[in-house]
Amino acid sequence: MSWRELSASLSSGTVRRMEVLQASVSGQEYKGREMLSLRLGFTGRVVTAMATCMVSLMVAAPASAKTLLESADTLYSLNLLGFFHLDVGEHLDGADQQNGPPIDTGLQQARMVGHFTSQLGPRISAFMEVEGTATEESNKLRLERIMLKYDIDNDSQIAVGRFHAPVGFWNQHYHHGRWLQTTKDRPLQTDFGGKFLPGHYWGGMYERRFSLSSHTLELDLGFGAGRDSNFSAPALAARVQSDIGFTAQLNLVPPKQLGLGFGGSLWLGDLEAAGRSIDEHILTGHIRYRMSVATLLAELAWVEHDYAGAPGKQQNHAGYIEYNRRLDLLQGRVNPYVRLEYTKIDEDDPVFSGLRSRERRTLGSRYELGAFSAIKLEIRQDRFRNDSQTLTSVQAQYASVFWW
Amino acid sequence: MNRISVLWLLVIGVLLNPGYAQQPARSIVVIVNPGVPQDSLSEEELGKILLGETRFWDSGGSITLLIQAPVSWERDVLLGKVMQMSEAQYRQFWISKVFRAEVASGPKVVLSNEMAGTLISKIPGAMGFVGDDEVPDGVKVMKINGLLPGDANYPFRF
Repeated sequence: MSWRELSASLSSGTVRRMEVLQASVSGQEYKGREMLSLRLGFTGRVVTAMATCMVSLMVAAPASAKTLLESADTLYSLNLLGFFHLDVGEHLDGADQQNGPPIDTGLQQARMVGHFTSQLGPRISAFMEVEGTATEESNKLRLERIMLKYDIDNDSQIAVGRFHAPVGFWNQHYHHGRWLQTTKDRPLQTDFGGKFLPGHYWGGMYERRFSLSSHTLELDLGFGAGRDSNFSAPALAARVQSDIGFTAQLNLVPPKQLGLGFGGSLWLGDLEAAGRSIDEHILTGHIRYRMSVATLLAELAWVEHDYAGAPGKQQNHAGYIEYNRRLDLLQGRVNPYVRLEYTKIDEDDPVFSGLRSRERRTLGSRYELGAFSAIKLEIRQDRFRNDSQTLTSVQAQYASVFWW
Repeated sequence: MNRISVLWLLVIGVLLNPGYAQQPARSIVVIVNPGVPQDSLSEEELGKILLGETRFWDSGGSITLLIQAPVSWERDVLLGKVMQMSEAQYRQFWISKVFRAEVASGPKVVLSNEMAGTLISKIPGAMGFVGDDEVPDGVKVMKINGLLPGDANYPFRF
């Protein structure tokens, strides 16, 4: 067997093992027949080709014995980073629990997220993120991200695996890292479990950084298997299937992330449900002004669904603006925040039939318990557009981070 | 004793007070493994290494960054005066970077300058920081903007 055949078989095997591993740890969401289904269409070939390139580079790299034995990477091979949060909430008024819309109340969830990173060689690293969530209804263990990265040089990387979709600012910068974000929850546009905006995708990613004076321009290009399989629309008879997704994101980042930054992302994908083919187009844009004690963040997202053979297109959009400022009070531990947000869902769009248009106003504060833990307390008001129902709730969270 | 004599005594007392005497300036010395072919870095290049934006030397070898543990003089100066970050900002910066999978890990923590010297002398591509009165054997001192720590206008004298 030639090295080319060897690397090809290794790469396809790696992709299969990664999918089987993901399916095995998230068995509550996937059925057995789906677990082993490999999309070896065009997307599958692209993923396989990229994995082949990675493996070929590993095989072909002229790694001398000295490099392998004396590299710092062999001294520090595994790094751990984890997040934990516990959420509770309660209605204050306006709630009709039997017939009203779902609002998070009670002991909502406890979630632990672990990240495992390892420098496999001078330029190759592996990353895995595992999430365990306990709610009143169920306990889930899920593989959130897994990727193999190759550093081409200081400014560019390629990677294959399962990623946070680089669509919008919040999804990439916070996702499950509740300790990283000031507020208790994600904005509505990211909080629909990956339904409104894609949360994850399988495939390949190319990242490039350009220096522009003191600022940095970051470019992410991804191509892969479309929306993740946890995406579903209850009104559709069949599970929504997505096979291809292309994503591009461009961000201007200020030095040390202090100052004015902005960016946008594009997502082009396909959806298939109940025999209907749907083209999906997503555009997002954000602006972030971060000072030493305060941050202003605003984001807009627009999602269009184009049904094959049907006239017209379904338009959906969402946005939020958030401001937080750390006070001098109590040694700078108090960080109050306010967020205004909305979602506008097209009622004629079957793909988003499980979502409702709403507005949300949030006023709260974060308090740093220590270097690695914080509590957040907020009052939240949700107003649903179709029936003007308004719900007010109080929400709380304990969030912490640990790393070594 | 007249008022002028009292004033003179006060001035002399203040000047003789040890707490009033200025601390002699110390320099942060950038030390690297002797195998690193580069001899000099600009302040901007050093800043990019400290922020994890530059992870490879010009020769292609990977950079292993070592930084002293909290409350050490070297770490305080590096964070406060070179990177202009608080300890909390520095911690959140690196946690965010690892979370976004931009890097596999943050800088490695060393517990003493001796430990820094030993590791840097052994690990290819390693880089660290010590005071100019504690430069260990077996390492190479990196010039900053073409200047050594004893030169006039060396940028990291505090």
